[in-house]
Amino acid sequence: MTSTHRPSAPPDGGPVLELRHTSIGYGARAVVNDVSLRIDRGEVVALVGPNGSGKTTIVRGVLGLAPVVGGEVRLFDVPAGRFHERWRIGYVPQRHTVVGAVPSTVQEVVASGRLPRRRWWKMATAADRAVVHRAIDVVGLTDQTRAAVSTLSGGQQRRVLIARALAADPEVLVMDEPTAGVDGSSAEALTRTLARLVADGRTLLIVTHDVAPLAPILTRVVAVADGSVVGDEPAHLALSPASALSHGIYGHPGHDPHHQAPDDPAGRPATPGWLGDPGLHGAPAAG
Amino acid sequence: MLQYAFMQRALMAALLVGLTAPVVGVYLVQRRLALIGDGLGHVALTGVALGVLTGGAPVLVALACSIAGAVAIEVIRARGKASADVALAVMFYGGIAGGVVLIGLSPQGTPANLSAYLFGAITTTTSGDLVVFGLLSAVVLAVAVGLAPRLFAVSNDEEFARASGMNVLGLNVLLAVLTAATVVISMRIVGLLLISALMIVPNAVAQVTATSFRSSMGVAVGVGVGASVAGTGLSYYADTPSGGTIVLLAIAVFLVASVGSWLRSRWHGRRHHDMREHPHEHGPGCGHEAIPHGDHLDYLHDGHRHAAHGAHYDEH
Repeated sequence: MTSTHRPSAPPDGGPVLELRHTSIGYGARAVVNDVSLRIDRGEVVALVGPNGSGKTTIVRGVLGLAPVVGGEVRLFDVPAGRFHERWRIGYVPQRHTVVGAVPSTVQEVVASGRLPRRRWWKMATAADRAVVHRAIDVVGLTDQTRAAVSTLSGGQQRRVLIARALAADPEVLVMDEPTAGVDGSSAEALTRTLARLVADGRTLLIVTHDVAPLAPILTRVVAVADGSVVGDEPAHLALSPASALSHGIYGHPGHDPHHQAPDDPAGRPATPGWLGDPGLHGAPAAG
Repeated sequence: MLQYAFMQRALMAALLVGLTAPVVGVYLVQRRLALIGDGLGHVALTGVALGVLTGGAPVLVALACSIAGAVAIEVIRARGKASADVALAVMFYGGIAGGVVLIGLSPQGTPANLSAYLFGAITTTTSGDLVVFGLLSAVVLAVAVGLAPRLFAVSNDEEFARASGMNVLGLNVLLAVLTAATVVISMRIVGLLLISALMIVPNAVAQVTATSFRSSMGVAVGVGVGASVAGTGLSYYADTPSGGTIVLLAIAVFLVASVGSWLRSRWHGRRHHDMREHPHEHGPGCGHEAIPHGDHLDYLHDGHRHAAHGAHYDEH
């Protein structure tokens, strides 16, 4: 368990992100309590739940942006504290815009995502620049490479943030509300972009309050309420009209009598019986 | 005026500070920490006063003092407590109060002396100062430009930098030390109360005229050097404190640039709101009624329609 893991080290299907009885919060009060969740290579997981349910906090805990106050976070099967290749997990924060106080171009912002792969004293190589341009190309902003990000639409700025995450060539992409505030056609374009990433074999964890635009690519839906995982289903079940997830959890998590914290010692999320077959979660990616 | 050795030294010092201050300031502006440089100037005043009182080298003592202050500020900020704001304010007040009292106690401490430290003077730069300023400028510029990609990344989005494993605290402390060194470079010509203006105002010009980070830095350095050298010359003829003259010149450039940029956007026609000045983000469920309008959504806002367009909302 050293920091010398190569990208190919975990076999296909191995865990890339894992929470084991993890509590995350600030100060004495944990926002997320005793959550266990394992995401395997190739999965495309939506993390859903009402505002304040703790879904963003879970992601921030995984990324080291919120303190883990109990349990364990493991990244690529290594305890998070000993994992030193953070660039393998790309982060797309929830943000309406990428406008800093100083003007900057798409190319400049995306190139900043490449830095974790470069040594302090090394200049950017041709290979670095090629990756940056490929990342801009993947999100369809090649025409805007030299444009100031402040002149782009909200949806385009989201794609700049995705390209920035891609510039480090991560294996996992963690996205917080990528479709919030983006109109329907932009959300579809975004989903097509994400589908290309999935086809490349990347694992996606997407925090969202709206699974509909992402439905074509999702393999699994995990529902969070009151700081606990309350549902975990393969996407084809979760997105079906008959699903308890789509009915019970999005709207009224508090009314669910089966609401329970997962406590499977193996670290795999326990699935309430009414959600269907617990063995089905972790379905492989469509790509 | 160039026949006077003191003016040659003053103009050299002005050139150095005009080059250095905007390059460091661009990161402070990007992080929205424009006032930190001001606070560092306050802290440095105590250092200067200690140097004057002990008869040692005020420049070097100020350097040590403001670097210590800068590191303390970053540590207080990194701990992120709600009390950080007040803690910093207390530190800044303490710096300026300590400086004023200590200079008052020293035998050479005259009101004119104090005023030169606070607001800059063209007659005070010694050749020894120039050597120190030259060395500091070289180091600050080399680091601020050499590590520009990393400083940009951390200043642009600290959370992203942290999530991708960059040494955020280290880079923030580095930036604070660069700022402290810049404060010291400026202490003769610009003065400790006005230094942050020379870090910030040229970047404010860049904000309204440039489109990229690189060109912002270029514009800011141009304005910084221009205002600094011209202001120093002007203060010779007008017999005014150099720091105040330089800063007023820079602000004049900013006003002209702002009016120009405003006229340009008027010319483009559409009225729009800058999102940076518009605290609310429209989105699904934001409480404002959404109206499909062509390829996008307008949001009803106080009886008019907002459509997101880049960093602002257009009125539709």
